[in-house]
Amino acid sequence: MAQISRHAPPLGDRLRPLSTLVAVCALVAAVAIAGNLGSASLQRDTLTMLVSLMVVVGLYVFIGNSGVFSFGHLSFMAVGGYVAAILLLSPETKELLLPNMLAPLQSAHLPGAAATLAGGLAAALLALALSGPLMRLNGLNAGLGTFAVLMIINVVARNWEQVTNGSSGISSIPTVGFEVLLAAALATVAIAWAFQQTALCLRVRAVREDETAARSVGIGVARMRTVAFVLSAFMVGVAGACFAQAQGAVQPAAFYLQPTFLAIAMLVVGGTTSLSGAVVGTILISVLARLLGALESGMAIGPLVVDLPAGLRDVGLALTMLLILIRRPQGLLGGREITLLRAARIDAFSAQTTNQELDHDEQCAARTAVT
Amino acid sequence: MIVATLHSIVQDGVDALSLGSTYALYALGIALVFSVMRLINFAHGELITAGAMTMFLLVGVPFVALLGIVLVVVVALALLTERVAFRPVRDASPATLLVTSFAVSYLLQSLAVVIFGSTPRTVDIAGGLTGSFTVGGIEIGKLDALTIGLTAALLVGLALFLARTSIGVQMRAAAEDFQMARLVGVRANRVIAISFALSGLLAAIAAFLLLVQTASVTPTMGITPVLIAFIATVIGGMGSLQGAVLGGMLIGIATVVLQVALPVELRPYRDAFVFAVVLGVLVLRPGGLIVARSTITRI
Repeated sequence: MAQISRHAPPLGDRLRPLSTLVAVCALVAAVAIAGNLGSASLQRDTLTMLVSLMVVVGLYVFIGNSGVFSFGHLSFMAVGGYVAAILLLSPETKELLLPNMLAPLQSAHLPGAAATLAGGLAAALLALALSGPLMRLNGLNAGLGTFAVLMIINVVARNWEQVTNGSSGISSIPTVGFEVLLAAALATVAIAWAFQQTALCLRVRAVREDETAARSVGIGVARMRTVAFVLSAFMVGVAGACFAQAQGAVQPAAFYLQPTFLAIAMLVVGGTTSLSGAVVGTILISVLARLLGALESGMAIGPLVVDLPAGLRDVGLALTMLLILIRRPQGLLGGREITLLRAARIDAFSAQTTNQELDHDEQCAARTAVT
Repeated sequence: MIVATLHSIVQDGVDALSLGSTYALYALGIALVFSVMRLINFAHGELITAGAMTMFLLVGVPFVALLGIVLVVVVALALLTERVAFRPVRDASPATLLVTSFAVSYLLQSLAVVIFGSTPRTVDIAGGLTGSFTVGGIEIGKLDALTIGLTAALLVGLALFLARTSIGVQMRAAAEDFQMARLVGVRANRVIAISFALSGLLAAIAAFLLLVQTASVTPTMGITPVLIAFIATVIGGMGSLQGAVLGGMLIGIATVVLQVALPVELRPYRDAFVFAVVLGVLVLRPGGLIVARSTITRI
């Protein structure tokens, strides 16, 4: 992945990653602003898309860089959402709506930004506590272990009445507007991008490409992964806090199987290994969900009124994901980033890496065949 | 007093055995496919749903015909998912396979909503299975007896199939070392298709038992069984069929014991404890209780 060079790369090459950030942010802003100009329901869907974007980009920071699948990240979203919800409600409102709440939580109160950060921090702390066991797992076991975490957090959220108010959840949370959410989404993209530029992230990616080789050059696998895991949990926690303030309510079902599936679908469709892929996938699936949802509730195309049965939106989304998994397993962007600059040297280099990756795959196949 | 305690222990034991048998059936369906293909098939739950929905549609058809049609439908669906969705991604990483099975599961679930709507439908096919009979003071539900008997029969049948038939031996070979088996002439497509067909057969029977027990059909009814199956295979040892049966039995027993032993205020969290055990097994004993030889990584 990395090209180690003794000479400083030309200016064009150094600006290339920055142009990715500019391009991706411009894309997000353009789609979001266009959506915000539409009808009330389109504006609501735009807010949902921005929150999804934060979740998927946060998910990408771990899954994309480490190559380890996590099905448990929505539990971090849940923690962020609930912490922010509890802190944002005024003590008077809590006394009225949630009389059974634990006393210290009853009086706790923070303004919007502080509560959002607190949600992110709580999620990061949980991730840190879980990283001990989880980061030792690989491949399938990591997927199953994180899935078990999702189940545990969901059981707790549904039953811990004094904190989460059970399955009815917490409502009447003060909401924020479009501008705040757009800024938060762009900030999330920027953090993911900045992390990608660090040497640390390069090591995490090295482990993804070849764990044994990475170990042999002295990379601490579990430690590197933990950093990516905690950062990604923080981002998803903040996304949960933003979800609470976009919807005005949180309930356990919002952080369970279906939203997990949607987030994974968005990441897989765009391609798990690039930031641009995460963003493009989120936008595409959000737009598709909106279109199919409109067809479900009856939409007039010319003289024809299309009125499809309920559930068809989800059929369409699942089919899209399956089609991508079968036809284009690397996702639509195939791990590439969108850039505005094109340098000839880089093109030659990326062609070279593609070959190397092919070699690598062949080696893997050969090794599997041997073992 | 002692007699009374003993009596209640035996009674709980029957409950645990019946529950464990059901869970072992769920787990076997997952383990059969996993052993040859390294795929945790979350869509197995939707096979159960499909079986239950077919029975709902066919109420009134004579019982034997009904069971036959349900078997055919569910096995065909299992084969269809294999052919259309899982075969093209067969060589992908286990995590990608898992994602694919989530997608298939979600697709079938949404299709069920499109076709049936999301409101639960009541269906009564219990017939004469609702009552119970008494043996030596122990009350045994007819359904419990049927569940235990049917599972035992299926286990014996499956064991004979794997031990005595040519295709069964091929399946065991494929489970132990897929590449090696292919090299000596085992046909991959056939072995995998047979394992899917068998998992479909188990799903159809599980659907029947579940339907007699709950008398209701919903698009999401497959989720709980598949989660239990998943826990059971992880605890028992992924890739090992004996492990899956043992895991299912253990979960059944643990569920009954925890329900009795956990303090009342902790009972709602029972499932959280079970999943914590799953996490513990994954970390401390990743191979499960019975380690399948094929899952040991060699470099």
